[in-house]
Amino acid sequence: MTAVADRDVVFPQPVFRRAVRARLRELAAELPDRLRPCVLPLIRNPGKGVRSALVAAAAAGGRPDPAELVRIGAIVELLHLASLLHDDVVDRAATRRGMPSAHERLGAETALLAGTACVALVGQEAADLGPVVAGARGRCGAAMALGQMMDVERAYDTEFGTDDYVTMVEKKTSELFKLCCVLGAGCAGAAEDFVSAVAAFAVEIGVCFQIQDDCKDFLPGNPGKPAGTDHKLGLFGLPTLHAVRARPDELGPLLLAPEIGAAELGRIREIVVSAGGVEYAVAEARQHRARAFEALAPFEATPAWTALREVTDAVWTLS
Amino acid sequence: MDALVAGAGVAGCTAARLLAEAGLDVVLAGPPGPVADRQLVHERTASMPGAAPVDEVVLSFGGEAPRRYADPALAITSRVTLLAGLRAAAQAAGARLVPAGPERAGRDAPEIVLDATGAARPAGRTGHGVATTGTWRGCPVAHEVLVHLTQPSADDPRALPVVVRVVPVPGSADLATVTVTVMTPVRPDRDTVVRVVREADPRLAGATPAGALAEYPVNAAFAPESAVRGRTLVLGEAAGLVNPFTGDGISNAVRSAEIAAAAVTGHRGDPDGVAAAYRAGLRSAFVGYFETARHAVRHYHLAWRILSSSARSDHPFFRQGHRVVLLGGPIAHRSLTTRQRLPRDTRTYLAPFTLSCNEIIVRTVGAEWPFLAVHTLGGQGYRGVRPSTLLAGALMSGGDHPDVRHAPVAAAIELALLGAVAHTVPESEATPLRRGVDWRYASAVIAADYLLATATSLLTRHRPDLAGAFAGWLGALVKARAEGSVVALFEGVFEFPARMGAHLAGAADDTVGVLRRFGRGCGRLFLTTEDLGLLGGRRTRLDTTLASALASGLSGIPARFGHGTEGEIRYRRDPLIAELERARVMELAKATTLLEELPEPRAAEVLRQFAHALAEPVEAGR
Repeated sequence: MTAVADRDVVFPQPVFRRAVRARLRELAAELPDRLRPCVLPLIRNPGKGVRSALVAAAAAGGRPDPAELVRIGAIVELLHLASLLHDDVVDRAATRRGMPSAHERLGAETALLAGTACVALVGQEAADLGPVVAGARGRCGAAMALGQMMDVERAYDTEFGTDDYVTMVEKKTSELFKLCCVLGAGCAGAAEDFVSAVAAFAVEIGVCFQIQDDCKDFLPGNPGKPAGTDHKLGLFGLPTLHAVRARPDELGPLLLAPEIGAAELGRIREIVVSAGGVEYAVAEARQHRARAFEALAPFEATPAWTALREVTDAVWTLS
Repeated sequence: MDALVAGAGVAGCTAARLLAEAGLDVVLAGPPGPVADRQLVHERTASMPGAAPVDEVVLSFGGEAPRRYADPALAITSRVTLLAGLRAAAQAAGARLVPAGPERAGRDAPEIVLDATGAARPAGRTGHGVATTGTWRGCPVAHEVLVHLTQPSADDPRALPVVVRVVPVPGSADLATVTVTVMTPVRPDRDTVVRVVREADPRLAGATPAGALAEYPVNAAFAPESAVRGRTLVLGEAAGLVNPFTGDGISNAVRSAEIAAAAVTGHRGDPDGVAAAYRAGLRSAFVGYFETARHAVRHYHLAWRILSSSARSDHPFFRQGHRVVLLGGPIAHRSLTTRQRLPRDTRTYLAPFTLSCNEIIVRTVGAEWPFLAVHTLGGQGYRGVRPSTLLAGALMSGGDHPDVRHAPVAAAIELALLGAVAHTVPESEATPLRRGVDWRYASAVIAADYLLATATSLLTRHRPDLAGAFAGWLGALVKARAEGSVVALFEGVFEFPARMGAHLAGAADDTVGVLRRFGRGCGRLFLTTEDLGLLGGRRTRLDTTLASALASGLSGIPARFGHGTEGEIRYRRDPLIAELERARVMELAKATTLLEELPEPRAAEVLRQFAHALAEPVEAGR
């Protein structure tokens, strides 16, 4: 017996995406006037929308209340958006999604308040959807904040090991992926065993996604934050951490130099690539991806499995 | 023999005295301490008045200008004199002193053993370090105690601070006890010690050791679980109850002895009960500065970076952080023992609730971000008024003592409010950097997020039914900030705990209404008293200056009088003070009059005292 009923997906992804955006706009209308301009451009230019796509995918084949599923999709996107607003302040990132970042346009204080206002809105929405949603989103928010702290706390640590890195990413990135999948599945009335499986899936996919993000600094055409931001901050990603383990004498001093300009970044890139850092990270990402689908193996070929596969394939760029 | 206390230092003598006073047959076993004397700084209390008061504590980081903390209620005493006094007091209370190791203490097995043998030699373990101490010449620091930390190097994630502490020898214009502490197993060589001391303060440029330098181990690796071994309670430095930033452990030693003595006398014949009570007491009084967790070194390092990067900031979040973390045990922990200026029977109602709230705060953030746990507790106490007290008072409107099962709600509110304070660190505190993390500004952002998220999670776990109200409250505070309405902000800060208390007590609608109005009034009262302190140049509850309060949007003066700049405000200082004084009297009268409508007199009394505490200026040195 499969855990999810064998029925069609409630929403085709594009319809769901539009509905989530409409809900996001409704929520944004409740923000104080001064803060709304921080949020609206990011709603209009929504990025890949992986998180809400995971909500719909995890619900595929079940019987979700469509309106509730859309609200959950909006919750996770808004939570993500809030974390971007704050991360950009901490990282002093000048652009986001090809536009000047909110703090560049409107000041750090406004951007920070906007982020926190979004978090408060998410809290009210989640509470409205009942204690289970409220509880899950409360735990998720706390874990994400801890992950952010752990990420910054390790600044300049060139000896940050892969295990520590994964622990940090599981909090910073995977927790929200888990929230998406668990709430999506829960909304669709999925059985307990599917919910646990999809939670385990999400943790691994989150790590895979973050490693992939780290690799972007070394690949052409990065649409996220400006290249080199994390290196300048001293927050080294998995490719760099591996490379500096392999060639400490060469790469270590460059990473810890008092200033990093375009030339230094170019040199760091060369060494990371030639020391096998990107290769190592891609292999790690692959492994986490494989583990993610191992967790889902009992549900192979169910509508949810297929939908989750589609979402992850669409964002998988390292093949 | 009922109890064997091993180690006749500060912790051992205090525990032996308290147990003997409680009627136990106590043996205090310990060899006399080292001959060389040194000056100690400790909290000024009735049992330890000290030889000389400390006028100011001067705190500095690297080459940054120092920050001064006036009248810190500390005293200086010679170690030899202090220990002689404590030993005599233990003996006078009836403890039998055996001036040898515990193996010579006698044949009959004690009911309980207290290990107060001090820190063990460091073996390279996390949280262990070493201090080099001695008497130095050329230290004309008058009645000031100096605490100096080296600046972290920007790019070394494993560098650790060297801490210099200078305590003047009372009666001498030139001599001081100088202690250099590092949290590594190897002490710096003599040349490094001399250099670091001379760089700590311009007055120390000619400082030289006047004799041999002694070395002693420092154990700051405290964890409540390891404070009990079988039937042995581990006290003071032996338990790692030392501030890793300053190496200070005396006040912690006294406090742990008090907790141990209370645990033993409260659970005679029940060793498990003693152990549980001791652990619980420690957990609520101390925060694991340095637990042996994998991330401990990073936590320590993060705290050091935050403290040092914010050395010049006058923002409440940072000033309070410095005070509670670096001025160490004395000030931070005093707030936990002698909470507020509330009458005794009120404290009796509130104590279990407040202690439970403290314990929850420590359990919630203590392991992940110990710095913030110390900050939450220490800061709340010396500000003199805690939102948890307001919530407890409102809870009493149900006619009963405040129910400790609601303490998680109070703890969530207090954590969120520290987050809200962190959220007000203005953009002007950001530092333009070529690379690296801007620790000062980034830490405020991350701490605010972490505290608000943790508070939400804590509240939702205990009372999912209140999750919406809590999120709505946070949203309203953000809106008040976004709209620059400082009065609405403080009204909201105090209205919510009052409303939650009333709600949790199941109060009638009109009582809820009264308490909400009372809460808003408390917010205005807080702001008015705060503004008066800022204008008068006095210590304020938020522990900030007029300039910083204006920059952070935490003063009500611009909105009330329409004067925006510091210069304008100072120019009109006297009429503004007079006007604010009138406002304060009126707000207090309004708030206390409201309480007459409450059906429950004890709740009204607790809240009346709360309002009065809010209206009083904060005591100097508290």
